[in-house]
Formats: sequence, structure tokens, C-alpha cells
Amino acid sequence: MRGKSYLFLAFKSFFHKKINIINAFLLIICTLLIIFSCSFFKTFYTFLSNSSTGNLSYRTLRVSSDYSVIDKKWLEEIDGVSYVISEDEYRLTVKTNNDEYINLYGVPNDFIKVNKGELLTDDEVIICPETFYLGLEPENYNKEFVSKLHDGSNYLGEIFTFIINEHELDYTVVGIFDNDKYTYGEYNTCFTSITNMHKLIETELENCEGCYISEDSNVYVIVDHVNDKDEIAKKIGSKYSVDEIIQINTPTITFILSTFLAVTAIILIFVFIILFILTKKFMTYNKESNLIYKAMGYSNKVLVRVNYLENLILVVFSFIISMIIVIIIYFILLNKYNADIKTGINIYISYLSIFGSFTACLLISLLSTRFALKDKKKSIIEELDDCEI
Amino acid sequence: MEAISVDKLCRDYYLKNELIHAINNISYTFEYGKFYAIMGHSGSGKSTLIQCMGLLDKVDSGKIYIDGENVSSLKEHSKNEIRNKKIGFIFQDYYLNNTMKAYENVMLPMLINDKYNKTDMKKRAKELLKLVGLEDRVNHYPKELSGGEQQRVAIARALANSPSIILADEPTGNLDEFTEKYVLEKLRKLADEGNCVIVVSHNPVIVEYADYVLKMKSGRFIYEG
Repeated sequence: MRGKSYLFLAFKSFFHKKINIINAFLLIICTLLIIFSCSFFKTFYTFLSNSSTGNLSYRTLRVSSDYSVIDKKWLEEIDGVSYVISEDEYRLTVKTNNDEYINLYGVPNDFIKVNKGELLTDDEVIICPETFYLGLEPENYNKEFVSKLHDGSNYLGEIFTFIINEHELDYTVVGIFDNDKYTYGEYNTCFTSITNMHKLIETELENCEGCYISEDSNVYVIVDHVNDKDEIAKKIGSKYSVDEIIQINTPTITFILSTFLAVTAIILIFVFIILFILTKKFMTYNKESNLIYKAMGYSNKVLVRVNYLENLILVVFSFIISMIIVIIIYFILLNKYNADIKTGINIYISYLSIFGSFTACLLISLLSTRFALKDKKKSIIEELDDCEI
Repeated sequence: MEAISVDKLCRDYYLKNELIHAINNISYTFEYGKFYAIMGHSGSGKSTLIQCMGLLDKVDSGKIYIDGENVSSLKEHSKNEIRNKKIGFIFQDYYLNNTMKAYENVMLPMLINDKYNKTDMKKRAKELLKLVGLEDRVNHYPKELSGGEQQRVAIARALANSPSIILADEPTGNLDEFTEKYVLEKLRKLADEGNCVIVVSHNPVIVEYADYVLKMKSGRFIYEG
């Protein structure tokens, strides 16, 4: 029998069996569930992973003391401490000539690894994220500027003019960093050298009577890894008071993720069982049609292949519908608002999850057909043996 | 000329642990160009005989010859080929595929016959439907057809691969008097054209159309005439 004839029979059967609407619905749920659970898992796994290794907010301890000047050198010598910086040198929000506000942080020159461009130097340079997260009113921003912000390679080499106390200071973007790894979880985070930060803060305080950079103010301690944070905090706590900027409850998040995956797995097993029952009940390969197809000269092998092909069509059809739904949900809805998400968490739809969902649905469908056929064939043979046709 | 010949054919089966001799040592030769009516009460074994001759059911002993070839010992794929090319089946319940239009149902046997391409299949299916008076029902689904029309589609389907042997199991069982006459006339015509037509029925009207009437009881022919 020719391939076209197989397709003809499978398509006919597929489009006229009302039960295929339920089967397709189940497979669509299955596909979406796999894609979104994988994406959810990957998103939060990446988030946790980056929080642990890179995201500075989770790695920062604030150290303060009411009684004595904080010994920065002692803090720097603690194992697992990346660097120590005074509160007054830590951050400055500057306005650009585009009316855009940027949060600048002072870091050691080699601290931030760049994706593109160069590391920091003490020249008037900054490194900025691959993608800026816009503020709460993005419609107020200069559109040309915003379009550049969405692709870091567009503004590498760009000069930002900071307006501080009526001074215009030109800073060149020399490097682009990965948002996920270094963002502070705020909008428009850029980094400059500690020396530059010092200079900028001095400019900021220029006309402010009584304002000065205090050497004995609170300090921020940035640790190498979030897992070491508690131990380092305990050590610092013996001498100064210490608190975390943002607390992260990794076990809870891991528990939520595991539960979500477990629920997904249980749903997949249920879908498999339902598909098995429905496939068995409504498959083309049944006693009545088996008799007439057999009378026309069809072999059991052909009928079995038609059933498999029908299920393959079902999987492909469900997959296409699922992809349309994913595109609508993700690429249109999520992407539209992704830039506004305050935490800076990127939602991932990986190709692997798409491929995985297709493979899983294919396996579920083909295996349920295989088991149903095996069961059905056995019962047909038994019936034919026991009764007169 | 010999179409189907059965030699000491036996078929037994168990019904509620009781051994039933559905076919009990039957020998007979069916010839081309003749119309055979096999009659008998329910359970007499007539349907089992037609299923065995059509290679749809296995036999316990004895031999079946089609065109002089012993087909009872053939492998399944060879039996499939014989069913597809040499035999046309008609059943009481039509067994049309409800998901397909009338002409697509007629095309079914041709799909596994390499002789036809899609255009030829469609053309032949429409010709056959015209032959059974359904030229205006070509694109109708079985549900949109009356019982008689469905049986005519089933006849057209049975003739799809130009078989030389037609086996019909109670073909008029669900039909009204007018359609019954139409179907039997068609079968008679097929026999006159040189085919071997074997019809299983308990309807006495069939006697008027048959060349030979065979009565069955307890798996044996008790009357030949």
C-alpha cells in the first residue's frame, strides 16, 4: 500500500472521530504543561543559580556599627568576601541628558565580567547591561534611546552624559554585561570603578553644605557566593551588626519547583492512562471494521500502521495548536511586559522544552496506541475464536 | 469452469463449552457464471461456510480451492491478496466507513491494489456508483443514505477490483422489497456476466434468481437443486 493511501485513511479517521477532539485537547494540555513547567523550572533555576553566583543583591551584606569605625581591611580579609565598599560610595542615581535615570554602582575594576567590550578602568567609563529594564513609566522615555537599550550591542561605545549639579559628565559605555548575572534587581543598573564613583559622589555633594563622604559610614560587604553569606554574616556579626539586603529562601523555592514538577509528572501519567483508554475504545482497529477491512484484503499490519499514523497526526496537530498558544502567551503577552518586570527575571521558553514536549506527547500517544492495540488484538482474536462471525 | 471448490471441509467451535460442528465435512464445487443460493436456519452454518470460502475464517480440516489453487494452506498475506483481487464481499450490515463519502468507501479495496492511481480510483469508484444507480450520491456520507442506498454502495465496493467471485451474506436482510429486488437483479446480472455469485440467505425470494439452491442444516448440505 502506498504512503499516500495510509495518509488518506489516517486523515479520514482522524478528522471524523469526535473523540480526537478530546485526545487533542489532552495532548495540548500535556504539551503546554511540559513547555511551561520546563520553562518555569528553567526560569527559576536560572534565577536561583544566578542569585547564588552572580546577582549582587543576594550577595550583599550591610554592616553597621554605632560604636566604632568599621575596619574595612578586616572585612576584606574574611574568606569568601569579594569586596567591601562604603555606603556613600556604593550607589548613585544619575540623570542622563535623555532624561533617563541610571543607577550607578561602584565596583572593583575586574569585578564585573563583560559579554562584549572591555572591563572597567579608572577612565570615565561605565559598563551596562545587555538589556535595560525600564522604569515604571516607559512611555515617557525617549523612543530612540529606548530602542538602543533593548540591544546592548547598539549602545556599546555610546556616550552617556550625566547631569549632576549642573555639571555635564561624559561617560562611555565600554562593556556590556549579562543581566542575569550581575543585575541588582533594579532598573538601569550600570557599573563604574570605585574611583569614578567617588568622584561622582563628590560632584553630587559639591553644593551640599555639611555633606561629605564619610569613611566611617555603613559599609557593604559583597560575598563570592550566596551560600557563604550566612557563615560570613555570623563572623561579621561577632564584631558589628549585620543584615542582608535581600533574603532568599532557596529551600522553599526548590520545594515549590519540585512539587510543580511532581504534579506535572502525575498529570502526564493520567493523560497517558486516559489516552490509552480512549484510544483502545475508539481505534480504527476494532472487531467490526477489522472484519470488513480483512474482507477487502487489508492485513492487520496495515490497520495497525493506520492507527499509529492517525496518532502521529494527532500529536502533530496538537503540537501546532500548542505552539500557537505558546506564541500568543509568551511572545505576545509576556514579551510585551517582560521589560517591565521589576525583578529582572527573564522567562525562558527553551527549544529543549519544545522538543521535549513533542517527544513526550509522541511517546505517550504511540505507547498508549501500542498497549491499546495489543489489548484489542488479543480480545478480537479471542472473540473470533469463541464465536461465529 | 470451477471457481471455488471445497473438499471435506470442517469447522468446529465451542459455544458455552459445547462443541458445535458449524461445517461438517462439506464437499462442493461452485462454478463461474452461476448464481448459488445457500439457505438454512440461523446456526445452520451457512455464514461460517461463506466466511471460510472467503478466507476470513480458518478451517479445522479439508481444503478450499480457488481457480484450482489450494488456498487453505496459504500464508496470510497471500490470502489477503486473493481476497483483495478475486473476491468481493457483501454483508447484511453494509459495514461502510462512516467517515468516508460514498465514492471513498468504494475506493477502499483499490487503495491496496497497485493497479490504480488516485485519479483512476476516483474515476472507477464513480463509474461503479453509476452502475448501481447512485451517480447523484457520490459525495454523500453513509449517514446521509438510506439502507438500500448503503447496500448499493457496498455492492459497488465489492466490485471495485473486478472480482470474479462475489460472496454475499444476507445482502437483503435489512432492505425493503423494492431494494431487495434491485439488489438481487444486480447479483443475477453479475452471474450472467460470468462471475460466480454465492449468496447466503434465509429469504425464499432468492430462489427465483438462483441457478442452484443449497439448503444447510447442522453444517451439512441437505438439499441441492
